[in-house]
Amino acid sequence: MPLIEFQQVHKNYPLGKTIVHALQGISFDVQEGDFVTISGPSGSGKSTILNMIGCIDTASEGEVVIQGTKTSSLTDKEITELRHRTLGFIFQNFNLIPVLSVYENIEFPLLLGDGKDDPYKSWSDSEKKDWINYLIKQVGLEDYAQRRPSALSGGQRQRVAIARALATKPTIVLADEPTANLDSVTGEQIIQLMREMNQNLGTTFIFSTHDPEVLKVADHVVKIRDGMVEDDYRVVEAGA
Amino acid sequence: MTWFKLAYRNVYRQKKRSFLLAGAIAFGMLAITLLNTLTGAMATAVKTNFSSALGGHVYMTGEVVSERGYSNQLINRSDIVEQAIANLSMPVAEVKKRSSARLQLINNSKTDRLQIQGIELANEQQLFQRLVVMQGSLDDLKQPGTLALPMNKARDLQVRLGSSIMVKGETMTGQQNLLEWKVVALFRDQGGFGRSNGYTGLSTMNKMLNIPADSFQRVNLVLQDMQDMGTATNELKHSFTKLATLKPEDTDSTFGPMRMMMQGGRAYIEDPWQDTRFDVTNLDDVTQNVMSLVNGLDLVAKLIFGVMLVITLVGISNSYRMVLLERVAEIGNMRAMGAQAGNVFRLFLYEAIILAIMGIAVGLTLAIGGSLLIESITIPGDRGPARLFTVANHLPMALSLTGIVISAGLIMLMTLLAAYFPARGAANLDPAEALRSAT
Ligand SMILES: Nc1ncnc2c1ncn2[C@@H]1O[C@H](COP(=O)(O)OP(=O)(O)OP(=O)(O)O)[C@@H](O)[C@H]1O
Ligand SMILES: [Mg+2]
Repeated sequence: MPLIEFQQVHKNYPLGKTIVHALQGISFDVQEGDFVTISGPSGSGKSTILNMIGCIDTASEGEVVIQGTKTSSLTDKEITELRHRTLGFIFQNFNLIPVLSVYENIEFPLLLGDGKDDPYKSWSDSEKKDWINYLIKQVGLEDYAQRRPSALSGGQRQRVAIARALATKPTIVLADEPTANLDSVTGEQIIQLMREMNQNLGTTFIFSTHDPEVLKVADHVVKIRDGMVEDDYRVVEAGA
Repeated sequence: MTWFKLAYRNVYRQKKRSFLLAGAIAFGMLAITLLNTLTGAMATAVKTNFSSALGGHVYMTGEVVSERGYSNQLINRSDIVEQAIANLSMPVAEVKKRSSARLQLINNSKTDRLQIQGIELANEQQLFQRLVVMQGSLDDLKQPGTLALPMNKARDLQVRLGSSIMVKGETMTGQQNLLEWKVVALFRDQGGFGRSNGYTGLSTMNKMLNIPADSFQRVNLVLQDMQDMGTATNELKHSFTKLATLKPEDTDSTFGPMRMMMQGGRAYIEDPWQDTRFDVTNLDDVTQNVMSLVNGLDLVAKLIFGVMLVITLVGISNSYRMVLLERVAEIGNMRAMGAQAGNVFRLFLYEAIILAIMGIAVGLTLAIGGSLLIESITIPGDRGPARLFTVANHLPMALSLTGIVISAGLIMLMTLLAAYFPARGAANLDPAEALRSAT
């Protein structure tokens, strides 16, 4: 069973008196452990697709199935739980909580959830601490753990966001143009970091970009144009 | 990291705004606490002053029907009084038996009228504490035929310590009586508040009234705790109903007690009773009118406070709407990470609670300081309101814990109410909309 299935997904946005057909019958699968790039020009529908996987937005037609569950059948509370348990988010403009330190930002998702199926709810305080410190080390911010986001560079902020997205050990991490606000060198480092985490932890990463350079790193590319799938291919033994 | 801690940090995020909001709350708390304490102080002063002027908290008077069918102010059953007092459930500090009359004082060509209280020296601690004796000694009132006068009366009458003075009055039954008394003490005038009194021994006064030497007209009780006043009054009434006769409720009672004290009401009684018919009143009955003034003031103060509170409430509510707008992206982000709507709602309420607690704490501290300051101010004047509303020229400020708890609770409730709708708005934000606004 694929981890994620898009089945003939349509999305229409009302815009004044007209309707924007943002997605026009999108279908593709994502397997567990994939490092997926959704690529395409501006306005092609990349954010819309990621928002649907993130259950932040709903399909107008068709189904988004995550781990065998049709997301359209879930209540707001169930969706929140699913997001919390299964998904991690990385945003283009980082979206860190400004009043929390690097450490606390990464710790924050561990505060959430009703605790029913969350593995980390049973962790001891020292286990939690070790895990957060491990993530901080993985993203190379050991010396910045107590800083507030305002005292970090964009690349450092995005590293915090990556660590935070991984805090709850989610199955899937979604990243909408994580490099858009970064210079190309830093952006490349961020993609590399995500790739390492994908390989070390087995987490499925799905990220959007319109930077063709990035495609080289991905092992699964979904190209979108005008709300339709233009291309969908896997790179065997990517990076090997 | 907890939600509460996060809320706390958020409060510090916009220092200026939080400072203003907490400041408004603090001001509200300060204003209401000071106003409460001030009106409380006025009430306490009124009661203290009346209590010392009237010589107690609970007053028992008696009427006896004379042979000719007239009512005379007299208690001729001291055994019943003693038993009624013994039956009381609360501690009594002083029991003061008194007779009194308004007498004419004559010294050669000078003449003046003065209310004279016949007192039992041994039972008048409160009076002895209050009177400032300038010449002579109140102890000398033990000797029969002696009198203590306020300084200014003595001056008007041109009498000196040790000289004698003619005293003219009426006996209980209405005959003229003229006696010669010796002035053994002069004390500082009590001044504008209440009426000036002269003092003599109980038996000396009884001689003027031509009643038995050990009888009396009224008994004033000083209770250990003034709060027991109402209960004590009811218990005494109950005892008198059982042991003797109790005067039926006076329909026009506001000035009843005052009138009873000033005149020896001598009415013809159509259907006479046995022995003494008792009446019991207390300080609350006497101070009713002044207190309604204080209460009116209190009400106006509370109304102003209410309006202020509503204005503050609107301010807080608006500020939180702004906070909500500023944090749309952040809230969407939290929701995307798995924060439930309830978490976001509570986060907002926590922030309001923290602001309220800070404001209340600061306001209360200022109020305590303010009331100490007000209490330390010496309010000059022996006359009029300055005298009525002060004790020894100071406002007796005393913070009431109940008052503080109630106003703090009210402010907290109002703050929560003000934050409620913005908080609900934040909780109901659509995460998709919220995140879109970020990009
Ligand atoms: N809330 C909305 N209301 C109306 N139209 C919308 C809304 N959100 C997206 N769209 C439209 O849907 C289409 C797809 O938008 P989407 O944001 O998914 O594109 P994108 O591929 O992420 O573009 P970019 O690379 O610029 O981020 C666009 O034409 C956009 O204008
Ligand atoms: Mg986009």
